Amino acid sequence: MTHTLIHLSSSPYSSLSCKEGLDLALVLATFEQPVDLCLSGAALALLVSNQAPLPEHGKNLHKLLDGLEMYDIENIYIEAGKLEIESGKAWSGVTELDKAQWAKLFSNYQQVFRF
Amino acid sequence: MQYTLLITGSPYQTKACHTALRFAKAALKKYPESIRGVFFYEDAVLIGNNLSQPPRDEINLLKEWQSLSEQHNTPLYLCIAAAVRRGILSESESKRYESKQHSLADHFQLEGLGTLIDLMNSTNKVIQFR
Amino acid sequence: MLDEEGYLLNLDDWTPELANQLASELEIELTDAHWEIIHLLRDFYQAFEVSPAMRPLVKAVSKKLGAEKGRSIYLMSLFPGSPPKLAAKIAGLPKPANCI
Repeated sequence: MTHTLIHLSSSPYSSLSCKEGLDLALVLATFEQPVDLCLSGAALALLVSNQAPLPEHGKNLHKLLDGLEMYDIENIYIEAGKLEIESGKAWSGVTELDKAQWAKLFSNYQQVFRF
Repeated sequence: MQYTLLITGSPYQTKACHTALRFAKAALKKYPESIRGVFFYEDAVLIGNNLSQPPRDEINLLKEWQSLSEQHNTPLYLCIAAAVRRGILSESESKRYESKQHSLADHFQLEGLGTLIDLMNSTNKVIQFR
Repeated sequence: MLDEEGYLLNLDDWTPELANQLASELEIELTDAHWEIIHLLRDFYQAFEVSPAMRPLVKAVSKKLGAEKGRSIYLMSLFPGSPPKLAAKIAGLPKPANCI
């Protein structure tokens, strides 16, 4: 069985990339393929609490974060120190990796797809 | 060694479809069976729009992919959800959505992401072009 | 009001009465056991903005209504064929993506 990492790096509301990356993660999980997520760059904005996007902005992808456990997607990684928001104002389910762990992360998977 | 190609970059905003085409040509030239399938996702599905008309003095990327598929029997899949959202409809999908037009180019098939997972599990490597 | 596959076109059109009507057209008589799942599905969609496929649905049911009900056999007995699709139709939700 192949283990997949979905790497989100695009801004959640400036294109469909985050949405379509998450869709792929959900389908992988639905087909019982182990899948983890990691977020960097503009995609970190996905984690900020109290988002209220209008239909013109797109779907509220932040809401899906709480649903990931229903899909058995349990590992959502970010690099420590990159999320410049005080804790309590961001989604709490992420696992922070130090620089070395983050760099190593990408070689732990047979497949890494970036969105 | 068999590859699956996953292309996600738009044919207009990126060179993902162009680079993947060159890779596929080179790989198939050397190893005729080396590409198991090509899966287009995100804006890359726009490649399958039969109505697109590139200027005559530029590469016709759609035709290039079609002739590659014809020559090597390489299946070309478009993610159905991504394609339908962007107006790439097969005849049967256009009926389903009660639309009068359809726009899916020959040699392309609309498939769910499950097809990508099957490809993933039956080839050695998936290469993403974005 | 419905698309060709029987999903509600405008999600805001949903009412419990409409659910009864949709269900009877699908030859299902809604009992409390059905309603429990319909409400759970609507809550799921409200919370996460996606229609669940079978696996996440089973997990959500198991979490909320207990392991006894959180099994595909139980859901099949209520919504024969494809529980996520059938229940989504009756609950007025979009078609579950890539449903197997």
